[in-house]
Amino acid sequence: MTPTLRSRSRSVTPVFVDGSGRRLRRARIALFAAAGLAAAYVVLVVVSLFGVPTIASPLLALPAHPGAVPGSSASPAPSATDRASTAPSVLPATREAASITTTQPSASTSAPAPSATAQPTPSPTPSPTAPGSSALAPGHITTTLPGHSGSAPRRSPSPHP
Amino acid sequence: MRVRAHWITLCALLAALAVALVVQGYTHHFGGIGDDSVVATGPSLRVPQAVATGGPVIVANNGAVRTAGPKDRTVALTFDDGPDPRWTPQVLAVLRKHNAHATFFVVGTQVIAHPELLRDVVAQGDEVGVHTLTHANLGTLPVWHQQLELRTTQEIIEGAAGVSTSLLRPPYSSVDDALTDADWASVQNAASDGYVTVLTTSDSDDWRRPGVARIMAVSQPTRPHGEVLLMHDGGGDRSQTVAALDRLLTRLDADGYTVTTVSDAVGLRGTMHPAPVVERAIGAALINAVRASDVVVLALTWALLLAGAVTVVRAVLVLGAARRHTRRVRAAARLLPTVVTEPATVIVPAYNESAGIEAAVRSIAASDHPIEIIVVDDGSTDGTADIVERLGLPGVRVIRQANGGKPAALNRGLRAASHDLIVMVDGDTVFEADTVRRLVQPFADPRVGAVSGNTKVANRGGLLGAWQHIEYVVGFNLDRRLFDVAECMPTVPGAIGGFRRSALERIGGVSSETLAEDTDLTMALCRDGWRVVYEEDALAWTEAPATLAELWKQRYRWCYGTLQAMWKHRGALVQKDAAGKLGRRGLVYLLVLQVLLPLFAPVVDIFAIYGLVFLDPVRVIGVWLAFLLVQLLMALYAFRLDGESPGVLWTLPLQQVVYRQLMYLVVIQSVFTSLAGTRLRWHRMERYGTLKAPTPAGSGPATR
Repeated sequence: MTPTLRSRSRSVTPVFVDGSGRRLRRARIALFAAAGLAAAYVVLVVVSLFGVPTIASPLLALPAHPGAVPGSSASPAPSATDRASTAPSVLPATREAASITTTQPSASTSAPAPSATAQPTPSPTPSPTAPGSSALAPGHITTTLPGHSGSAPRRSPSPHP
Repeated sequence: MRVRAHWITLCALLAALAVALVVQGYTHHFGGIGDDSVVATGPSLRVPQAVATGGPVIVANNGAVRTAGPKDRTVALTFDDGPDPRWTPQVLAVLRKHNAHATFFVVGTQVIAHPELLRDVVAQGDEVGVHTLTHANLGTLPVWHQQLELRTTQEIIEGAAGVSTSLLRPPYSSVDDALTDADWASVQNAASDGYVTVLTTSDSDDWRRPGVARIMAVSQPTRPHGEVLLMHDGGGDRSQTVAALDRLLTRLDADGYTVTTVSDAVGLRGTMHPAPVVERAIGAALINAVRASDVVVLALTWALLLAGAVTVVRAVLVLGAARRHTRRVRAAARLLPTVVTEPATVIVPAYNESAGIEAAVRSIAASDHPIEIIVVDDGSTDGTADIVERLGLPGVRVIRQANGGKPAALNRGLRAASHDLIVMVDGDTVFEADTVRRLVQPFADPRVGAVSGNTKVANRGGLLGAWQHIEYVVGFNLDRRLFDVAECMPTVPGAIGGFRRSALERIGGVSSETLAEDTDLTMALCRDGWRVVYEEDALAWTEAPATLAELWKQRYRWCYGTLQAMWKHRGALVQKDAAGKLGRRGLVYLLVLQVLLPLFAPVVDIFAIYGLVFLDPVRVIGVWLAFLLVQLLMALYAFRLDGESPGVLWTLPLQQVVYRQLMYLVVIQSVFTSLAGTRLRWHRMERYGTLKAPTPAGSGPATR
């Protein structure tokens, strides 16, 4: 029986081997593309987590409500109006400044400090002081504005969502 | 060491997967719109008096705290927990009908799911506010977490509707005097970011679904002062809300109330304005990223379930086959103890096996079956051939040849063999006295072309040896029984294989096209129509790799070689009869269980961590233990079948973990090398007839 066995191992290209290197280049491109996509995704998520959206705070421009309080128990209209007209002068800081402060947690804790140490002058019923004087004191809590009666805060027994 | 592209990509993909899991886990399993009966408890000593007794709209930045309320006879209508695809459109329709406006405080995850609803809200002239990303209770969270919730919701709103808003309604809030210190701190945090916190003065209680009449009764203002009314357009069945809204608006209109947004009611300007393009882009990208995370996690969850099912099915198949095989073999042994007595030729290809060749040849020479031994020295440089010749054993022939690789050596031995039964072994394999006799018995069946013996790990001491021992007994041997019964054996191991010479000659001997010449040979025999069986009592003792580096090399070579053989014989998938059995059963089994499942292993591990963090850890651990138990029971059964003592199985849990990592790295490396077509160190160089010693380094960017 004549053996038909292969006696030499040469001139046989092993399976998969691509001598020209072309597949290697293509494989590398595909891999880096995949890695790039993955990295882009991660970067995107991280950026949105730490990015800073602009929240331009609203102008608390409360138009005066002359005679807006029929039936409101305590606020005399003139002084309330004056206070209201001076309110818009306090405008919120610009976005960037606010955002920078928010990145430090200590910033938020400093906020309650002024209000806590401030004299508890506010009373729901405006005191008979000169109109406008109490409103402008920085750090002092200003009273509420017309349209809301502070005297009988609504108490609701049930918890709210 | 050069860093390879595929490892970088693997790390990047796994990192992205981890991020996707965190994103999906957070948005789906943290917070959540559910039962809203969280009662805020806690001290409220630091809440300023004006806030506690002031208006529901709180503006607090630069240290100055202001509150405001709606004008008299004005109802600021607010809807929380939207947008909801079922209820928000209905609410919008009712508002349109009554020409009223409202403020919608939306939950970020809901906006991601239905961004078009948010656009509808804005288009209708209604207002949008932030209700956090996951309906989180801000007062209970650390500052960074609160900012995260608010910031991401803002970006999502910008991306979905192109507007940015400064209105915020904290979830679980109510009236201003229900604020606790923690709540107040979170309000101030939000304010320092520029948010205006909008609480409520009147709760319609609609989330409890008390009935339309009750909602109406509670929602109607009883005093001429303005109210901020809380209703919901999401988070459950809001049919009562919609119905009550319709009637309420009719009633309020009749009573002369104005129903409008919070800003209009209170007199705020500039709460909502178009978002800058950059932020809109980031918001849109974030929405898409979260959606992508959901898709990825869903797809992988299905794949995970599939992998689990495959594992279970395999266990069942393997155990069933093992029982059938055992019963058949033992029955045959009882009936026909020794039928085949014709002599066999044992071919021992050896390259630099000076350490183990003497023990191997002596053990084979001690066989109780008539044999001739042909040792083919493949150009060894350490005197292997001399050692064998010096042994002076009868029936042992030594053939020296120039280094040509194991296939060439085997073929050389084949040409020199005198008998029709061939046994191929490795140069360091030790036989028992009855190994050859038992191995050739199946050849009594003329359909049998090859027989696989039972390889055993000799060096079982040490962790690595123990693990390989377990792997050989449980993995290889159980699989071989299955392949035997299913008639699709893909590998007769090079360490111990019996062949019919005529079968070998029909397929042209051993090929050098792959690195796993034993697998290649066996597959070729299967396709040629020969039966390949497993003889569990023909033992061969091998020296398993003792170091991680050697083990890596061995497994890499096996895995890559198997991939080569699978690809070379892929035609068997569509062939008929015996070849088809190999193709559709053997190849598919190999593909799924030795390529795809190991590749999936890192995903499984990452998902386990995801489960521990975001799901019920007890259940996750339970599933893990269940799978481990299945493995343990299978291992115990395999050990019993083989007559091995199960003591070493205490290392099984660790072996499952570590081996899985090792195998998936091996498979990844092998798959990459296959796809990239690089030439490995072990590949023969092209030779042109001149005698040359093999060069150790392959051409091109050879891998390990």
